[in-house]
Parts: sequence; structure tokens; C-alpha cells
Amino acid sequence: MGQNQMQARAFLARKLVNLVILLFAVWTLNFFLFHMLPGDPTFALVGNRIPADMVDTIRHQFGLDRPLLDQYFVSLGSTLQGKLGYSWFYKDNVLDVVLYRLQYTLLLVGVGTFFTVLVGVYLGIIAGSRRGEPLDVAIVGSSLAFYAMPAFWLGMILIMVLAANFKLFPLRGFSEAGASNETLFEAILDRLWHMVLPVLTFVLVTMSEFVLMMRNALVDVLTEDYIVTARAKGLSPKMIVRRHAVPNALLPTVATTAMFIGWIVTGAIMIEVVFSWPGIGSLIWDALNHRDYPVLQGIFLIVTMAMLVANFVADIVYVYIDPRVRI
Amino acid sequence: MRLGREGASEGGPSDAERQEWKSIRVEKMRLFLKRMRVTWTTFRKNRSGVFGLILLATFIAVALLSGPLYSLGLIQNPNHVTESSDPAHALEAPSSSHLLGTDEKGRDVLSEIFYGSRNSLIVGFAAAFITIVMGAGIGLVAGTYGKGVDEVLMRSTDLFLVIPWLPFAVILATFLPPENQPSMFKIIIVIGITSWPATARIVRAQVLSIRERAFIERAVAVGSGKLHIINVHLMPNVFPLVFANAILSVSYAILSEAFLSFFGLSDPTRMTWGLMLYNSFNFGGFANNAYWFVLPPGICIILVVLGFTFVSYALDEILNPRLRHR
Repeated sequence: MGQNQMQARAFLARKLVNLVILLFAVWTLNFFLFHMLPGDPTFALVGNRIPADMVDTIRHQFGLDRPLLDQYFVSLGSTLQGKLGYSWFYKDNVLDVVLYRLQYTLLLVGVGTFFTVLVGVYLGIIAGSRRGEPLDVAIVGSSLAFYAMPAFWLGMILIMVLAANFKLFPLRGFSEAGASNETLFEAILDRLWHMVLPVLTFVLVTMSEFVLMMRNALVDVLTEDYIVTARAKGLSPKMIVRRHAVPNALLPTVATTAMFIGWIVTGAIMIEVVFSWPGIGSLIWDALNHRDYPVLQGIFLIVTMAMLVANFVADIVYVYIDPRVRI
Repeated sequence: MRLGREGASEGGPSDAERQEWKSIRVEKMRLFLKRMRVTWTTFRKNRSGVFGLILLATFIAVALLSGPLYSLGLIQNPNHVTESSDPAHALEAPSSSHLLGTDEKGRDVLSEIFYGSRNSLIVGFAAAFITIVMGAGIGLVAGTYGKGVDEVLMRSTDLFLVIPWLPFAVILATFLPPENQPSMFKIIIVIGITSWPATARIVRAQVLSIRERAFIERAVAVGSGKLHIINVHLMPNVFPLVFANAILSVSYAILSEAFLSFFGLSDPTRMTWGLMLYNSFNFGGFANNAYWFVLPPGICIILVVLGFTFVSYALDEILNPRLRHR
């Protein structure tokens, strides 16, 4: 017991040190990306819409004419104080702008991932327990087709058919503009209504990984000896799948969720643009259109760091749910 | 196939040695061809693999035909924007003169599909090539040299694996010179240098397992250098794995191109499927329910990605039988 706890603590400490090193590495990469790329960081600050003589003034003002090492430490200091630069378009701190938008992305990704795992695992179980049957072929085939689809294209099609043509759902946005005298219940209903299509698109394009992984894990597990034993005991095929196969196949599937965070975020970003969902994706879109490069840099830094932390949490959770993993 | 030079005596190889090398080369060629034949026979029996191959062959044919068909005057070249535009007939539904209708500038959508196939496939293959060369190179070096080299290379691979792809690629595509000027070449570079980490990991894992085998020990014992071992012993053994992976990377690259185009980062005078979707989303096609303009590029992307995926899975099954036994 005592030894186990010590091991767990050492594991946690090692992971934590690793996380700090990676966070630092990401920050350094971000810094050098903007200083080493042939484009001068002044370009990142103001774009190329300012006369050349003013560029020098700006370079001096932001300390860009000082030695690189000086800049590195000054920059590190201000990042630690939460200063990530100033957005020219929003006239606000980059950190505030990005964090404000991040909550909308987290809402979409959170709700979407919940349904993705649910639907994906469920379809995977159906396909895996009916291996080779038409239903299996249909499920695997359609997941592959959704996987091959650009997320934004599927979003466009769903809007054209379900929102524009049949008028079942709102076309875009997070809530109805100008509806101020609504009750709380109406407000919640309105927001949920706006979420249906983005979440549906999200689930369709991201579920394929879960379907295929769950199916393959189940097919693997179903060939194990203890399944033969269960069958010999006279258990019905339904019971075998539910009691013996699914719990063991579920573990690797859920545990690898973290591996798809990158894929999930990329999907969410594009879905946001199509549905004008006010999250990080729309922010990237706006920043590109307004040449608001400090925001672009801030998004890169914050999203990458969020991803590192998510991976760290997933590592810890994995150890807790699967005792077979060697610490 | 390069042969070792260790056996060469002072003052260059003798005639007998040259003769021997030549016969070894011939023998290797014969074995290679035989392996190809066997692979093809097995591949033909894989139904989804053949289906994928037919899809790919179709799109490659479409891409190759775009130039000749333009010379014959059967299709337009949408890359010549002013010449092919016809504002009076913008966003027209399919008709006998425009089988797939027209886009927001009045350009023929079918012609855009032809030229789009060409450029999308070029981007896909070129970016996948960079991905594979970088990934395989880094994986081979990390696996072969081990220790510090391995540590540094793999830690940076891990770092690049967790970086969210889209924001990273958007930043690179914006800031690589010439700044703010979209170009197809830049898109290829960006996709190539952001997609290698997965390949590097796979190749390194394979190298680590091969390295323990007896023939590598033997090569070390007779004094082979690291580069020689990579070239002659590791590369041919890693190749099948990399090959299936490379085919899959082409489909990733084509999807990636569409993603970046959708953010307006691709060259507007180089028609790709992604650019078509960008145009339809931003300049009225989507808002006006112009399904003839929105549907075709998306369907092409799906079919090509599925084609590459099926071929890659089939090859993987044949070339790496131990990895996939389902």
C-alpha cells in the first residue's frame, strides 16, 4: 500500500516535470517561430499595411531592435504575467479575447465529444458483435465515408438541407439576435436549438475513430479464451457481449480518446466557421481576415498549452482506470 | 540498391568483383520483381483494395485529361480567371452547355473539377512525399543512433504531435515568405512539415525491432558503418511499412489542403477542390443554395480519400501480415 502510494506519487511528479518542460518548449517554439521565420515579427504585430519609416519606430517601441536573448527573457516575463500582446481589431488584450472565445469552443467540444463517444462506442459494439453481417458493413462503410469528409463541407450540406430548405434549425450563430424579452427557459431552448446542427456535424465527422476502434477491440476480445468459456457455460451471445466482451474492449477505446484531441479540435474549428459559432475557429477566421496576427499567435500558444494539459490529465486518468498499466 | 564498399581492395575493385556486384544486382532486381508480382496477385483478391485502386485510377485519369481536354476546347481553364469568367451566367443550374452549372464568376463547374483534381492530387502527392522523407529520415536516424540523438528527436516528435495541427499550419502558411501571399508551393511545404511526426514514430518503432535481429548484429560485427546499415539493411525492411503509410498520407494531405483553402490560404489562381469549397462558401454559392457548385468538390474529396484509404489498408494487410491479422 505504502509502496504503491510512493510509486504513484513518483509517477505523478515525473509526469508533472514532463508537462512543465513541454509547456516551456511550446512557449520557446512559439517565440522562435515568430522571430526566426523570415518574416520579421514586426509583420506579425502590424502586418504590411504600415509605411516603412513607421516600422522602425514600432520596432524600437516593442524592443524588436534589441538582441534576441534580451527579447527572449523580456517576452518570457510578460507571458508569465499573462500579457500575450494586443489585438488591433478587438482593441483588447489577446489573452482576454482568446479566453472569452475559448469557452464557446469548450462547450461545443465538450457536448460534441460526449455524444461522439456515446454514439461511436454504441455503433462499434453493434458492428463488432455482428462481424461480417450487412449491418457491420453498413456501419463501417458509413463511418469511413464521414471520416473522409471535410467537416465544413458536411456542415454546409446540413445547413442547406435542414436549415435553409426545411427550416428545421437556425442557419447560424449561438443565439437569436435581438431576442431580449425572452424568459430564461426560452433563452436556454434557443441556445440548445442553435447547438443541434453544429453538434450533429461534429459527432458525424469525429465518431468514425471510435466506431472503428471499438469494433476492432471487440472483434479481438471475442476471440479470447474466456469468451469460449463463457459460451461453454451456456451464456447467451447477448450476455457474452454485454458482460464479458464490452467492458474489456471499452478500456482501450476510451483511453485513447486523448489521442484524438488534435483531430477533434481541428474539426471543431472548421465547424465553428460554417455555423458562425463564436469560438476559437471563428476567431482564427476573423483574425486572418483582419490581419490581426497577435491574436493568431495567442490562439496557437493557448490552444497548444490547453492540449498539453489535456494530455497530462488523460495520462493520469488512464492509470487510474486501467490498473494493468505499469507506472 | 547500393552495395557495400567494404570489400573493395586498394586501387579500386577488380574485374571479378565488378562481375560479382553485377550479378548480385541482377538477382536483387529479379527478387524485387517477383515480390511485386506476388503482392499484385494477393492485392487483386482484396475487393476493397481493388475498388480503391479503380477510384484512384479514375481521378488520376481525370487529372491527366484536364490539359488535353482544354486544348481541344472541351473544357475551360478556371486558372485563367478573366478568360473563363462570364458574370452574365453566374451561378446557373446545370444545363446542356454547363453539365454541372456555373460558379459565382460564371465559370464552368465541371472544368473546375477537372483542374481541381489535377492540383489537389499534385498537392497531395508532393506534400506526402515531404512527410514521408522527413518522417522516415528522422525515424531511421533516431532508431539507429539511439541514446542522445534518439532522445532529442523523439522529444521533439512528441512536441509536434501534441501541437494542434490547424492553428500551427495557419500560422506557418501566413508567415512563411512571401508573407501573406498564398501559393500552392507554400501549402505543400506547410502540410509536409506539419505531418511527419506520426510517420517518424512508426518508422522508429520498426527500426528498434529490426535492430535486435541477428543480421544487424552480423553487419556490425564485420564493421559496417551506421549509414551503410541504414541504407542496406534497415531501409528495405522498413519500406513496406512506410509504403502503406505514404499512401495514407496522400489522403491526409488532400484533406489538409481543403482545410487550409477553406481559411483562404491557398492561391486563388490555382484551382483545387478546397478552393472551390472556399469560393462557394464565401461568394454566394452556398447562400444561394447552389448545390451543383457545393456538392461536386466535396464528393470528389470523399471518393479520393476513400480510394487512398482502401488501397493503403489492402497493402498494409499484404505487406505487414503480422501487424493486422483481423
